[in-house]
Amino acid sequence: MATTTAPAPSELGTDDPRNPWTPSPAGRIARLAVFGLLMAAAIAAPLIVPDVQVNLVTRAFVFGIIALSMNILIGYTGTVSLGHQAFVGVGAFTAAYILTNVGLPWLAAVAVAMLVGALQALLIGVLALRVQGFFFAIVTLAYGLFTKEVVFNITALTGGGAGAQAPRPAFVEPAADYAGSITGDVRYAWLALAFLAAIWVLDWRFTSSRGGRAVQALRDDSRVAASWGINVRAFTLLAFGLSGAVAGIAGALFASTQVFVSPESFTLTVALTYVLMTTVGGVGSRPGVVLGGFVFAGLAPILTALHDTPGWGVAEEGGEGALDVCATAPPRVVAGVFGLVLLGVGIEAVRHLALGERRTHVQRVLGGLIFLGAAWLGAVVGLGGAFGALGGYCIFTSITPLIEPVIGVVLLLVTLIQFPGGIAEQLEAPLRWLSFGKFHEEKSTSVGGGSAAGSSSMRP
Amino acid sequence: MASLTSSSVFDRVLGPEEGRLVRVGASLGAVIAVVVLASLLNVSLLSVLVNGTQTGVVYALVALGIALVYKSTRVLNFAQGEIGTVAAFVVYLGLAGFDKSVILQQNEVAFLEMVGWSILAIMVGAVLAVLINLGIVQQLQNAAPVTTLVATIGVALLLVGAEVLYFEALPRSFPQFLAGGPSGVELGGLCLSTTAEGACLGAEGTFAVGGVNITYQFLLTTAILVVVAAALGVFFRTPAGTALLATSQEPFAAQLSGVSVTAMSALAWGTAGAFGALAGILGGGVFQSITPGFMTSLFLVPAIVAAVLGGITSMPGAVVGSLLLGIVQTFANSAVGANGWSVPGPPQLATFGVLLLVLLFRPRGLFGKEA
Repeated sequence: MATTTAPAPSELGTDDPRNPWTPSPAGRIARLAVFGLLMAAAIAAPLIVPDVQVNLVTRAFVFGIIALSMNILIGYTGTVSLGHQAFVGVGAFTAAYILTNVGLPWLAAVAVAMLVGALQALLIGVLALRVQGFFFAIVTLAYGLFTKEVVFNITALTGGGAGAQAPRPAFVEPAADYAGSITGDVRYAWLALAFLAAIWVLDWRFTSSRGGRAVQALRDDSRVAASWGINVRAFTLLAFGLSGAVAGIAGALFASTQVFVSPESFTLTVALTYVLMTTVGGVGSRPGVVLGGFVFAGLAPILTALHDTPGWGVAEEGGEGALDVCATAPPRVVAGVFGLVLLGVGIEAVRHLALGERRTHVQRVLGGLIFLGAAWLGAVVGLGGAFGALGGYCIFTSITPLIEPVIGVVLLLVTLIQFPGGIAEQLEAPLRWLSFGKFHEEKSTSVGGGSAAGSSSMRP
Repeated sequence: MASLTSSSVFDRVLGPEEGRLVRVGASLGAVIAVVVLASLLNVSLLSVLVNGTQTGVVYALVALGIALVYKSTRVLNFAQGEIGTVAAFVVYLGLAGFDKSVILQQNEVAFLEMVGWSILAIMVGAVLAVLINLGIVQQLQNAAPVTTLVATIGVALLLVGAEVLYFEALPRSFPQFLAGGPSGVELGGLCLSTTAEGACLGAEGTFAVGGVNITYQFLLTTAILVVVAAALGVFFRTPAGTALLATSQEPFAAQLSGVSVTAMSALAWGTAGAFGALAGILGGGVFQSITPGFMTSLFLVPAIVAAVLGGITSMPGAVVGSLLLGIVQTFANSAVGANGWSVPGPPQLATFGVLLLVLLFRPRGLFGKEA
C-alpha cells in the first residue's frame, strides 16, 4: 500500500555499496560520544523529572514500544492498522489476568501477553492475506471497536467496566526501609526503557536480516517479491506476529504502569493517536516513530498538569471541587491549536523569506528543531493566552480523550503538510551522521529505489 | 499480497454464470436464515426492518460520500461525518435566528424554513469538502496514503474543536423536517397490532404496523435516499459523470482526453460534501438532538464499514451495505434485548461479524469490481 515512506536510518548513506564511506577515527569517537550522551539522557530522565511525573516517562517509553510495533505494520509491510489499541489492550488484559487470577510471576505474565498478542495478530494477519490493504485497515478498525466494546467488557476475563489490577514485579519495588531517590517508579521506568532498547535492537537486527528485507519487499510490490521466491504468506504472517508480540509486551508494561487497566484506555481515539504518532514520527524510521511516541505520550499529561497549575488553570472563580476538573482545559486546547497553526505558518514564512532555497543541511536541521520547539512554545502560549478570554464553561466531563488528537491536529496540519516524512524527515541529517554516515548527503537519483524516491518527493 | 488473493471463492471455483446463481442463492439463503433466526429469537422482524432502515439511510448518505471520494481521489475521508455536523449546526443557527441560546421546538419550526436553511447548509458542506480537498488532500498528493488518512482525521478533529469552541459540548434539540406521522391511517385498512381496547397501537399522530411506529420523517428520509441514489445513477450517465468515472479509473488517460483531473476531484468532493451535509441534517433528526462531533462518533465508523461491505468504489454497494449494516445492528440489539442476554456491545459484535463474513467470501466487498 505505502510505497513512499521515509527511509530507515540503516538504509541511508549507502550510495555505493561496493565502497561505502566510513568516518575517521575521531569521527567515530564523536559519534559514539553523542550516542552515549543520548543513552545517558534516556537513563537519567526518570531521575531528573519530579517524582509525580516519573510514570509519565514510563508512559513515553511504552508509547515508544507501541510505535515500534505500529512501524512493523505501517512502515515495513505498508499495512495500516486502525485497531492497534486492541492489540495493546489484549496484551494489557492478558497480563492483568495472569497476574491477578493465575498468580504467575511478572515476567511470565509478560511472556504470556507477548504470545497472546502475537496469536491475535496472526489471526488478523490471516485476514490480511485475503483482504487487500484498504479493506484490511477497515477490518482492523472494526476489530478495535469490537474488542473494546465486547471482549474488554467480558467481566469474567477483564473485570468489565471496573477494570483489572496489574501489580508490578516484585524486583522493581525497593525495600521497605529504602528512602533514596531511586524509587519503585524509577526502577519501573528503567525496566520499560530496557524493554524499549531490547525491542529496538531486535527490530534493527530483524530489518537487517533476510526476513526483514523480504517483509519490506512485500511493501513495495508483493508480486515482484513473489517472483523472487519470497513466500508472501509466510512473511506477511511473520510481520503480523512480530507486531502483535511487541504490542503484547507494550500492553503488559502499560497495564503495570498505573497498576490498573480498564477498557476505557483502548478507545478508537487511542487507535487514532497511535496512527498519528507513527505518522508524525515518520513511518519506516525507528528513531522517528519512537520520538513520535514520546511526543504523544507527553502531550495529554503535560496539558493536564498545566491545567492544574494556578494562574493557568482552574478554580479562578473560587469554585472548588469536582466541577473544576472540567472547567477550562479544552477551550485552551482549541485556542492552542489555532495559536500553534499561526505560529507554525509564521515561522515557516520567515524561514522561506530569510533562507529561501539556499538553506544548507545544518540550517534545515536547525530550522526544523527551532520549528518544533516553537510549536511546543506556541502550544503553551496559546493555551495560556486564550484562557482569560475563553475560560469559564465546562466542555468535556472527561478531558483526556480528545486532548491528544486535538493537539495532534497541530503537529499534523503544520508539520505534515510541510514535512510529510514527519520528525524523521527533519532529523534525517543528524540521524545519518549518528549511524556512521555523512552529515551532508549529495542528492543521488540512481540508487536507493523506492525509499530514496520517497524522501526526495517529500518537498516538491 | 493482494493480487494473489483478490478473487473470491466463488470466482475461482465457478464460472461467472454459475457464480451469479450462487450469489442469488446465497442472498436468498441469508434472507431465509434471518427470518428463521428472528422467529427463534423472539425478534420482531418488522420493527428491526423499520428501525434498521432508519439508521441505515443515514449511514448510506455518509457512505455514498466516502465511496465517491475514495473512487475519485483514493482517499479515505475521515472528515466526511463532521461535514454533516457542521451542516446540522448551520441549520440550527439559521432556525434559531443566529442566537445559540435558543432552544428549538419541533412545532415552532416551519417546514419550508427548514428546507431553505438545509439547502444553504448543503452548499456549505459542499464548499467545505472542496476546501478540504484543495487545502489538505491535494497538498499531500505525493505523501504516503497513511499521511493523507491522518490529515483527514486531523481535519475532523479540528472541526470538532471549532464546534466545541462556539457551541460548547452540550446537546441541543434539533427538529425533524416533519413531525409525527400519518395519523388514523392503517396499512391497507389492516391494523396489525392492537391494544387491549382494540385501538391501533402507536404513538399519537403515527400509525402502527406490527407495533412499529412509522413517522413522516422516516418516509421522507427513505424517499430522500431513493432520490439521491437515482440522481447519482443518472449523473454517472451524463458527460460529467462519465468523465468522473474515467478519471477514477485512469487519471492520466482521462487527462489526455481533455478531462481536468482537478475539476473532477473538486466535483467528487463537492458532491460528497453535499451528501455528508444531508446526512448530518437527517442524522440530527434521528435523535432530535445534536452535539459537536455527533456524526463522527455515531455514524462515521458504521458508514465506513458499510462502504467497505459494498465494495468501497461501488455506489449501489454503499447503499446496500449501509442498509444491511443498519438492519443487522438493530437485529443484534433487539435479539440481545428480547432474550435478556448479557452480551456487551451487540452492534459492534454484529458489525465485526458481518464484515468478516462478507469479506471472507467476497474480499472485494459485495459489489466490488476492483481489487
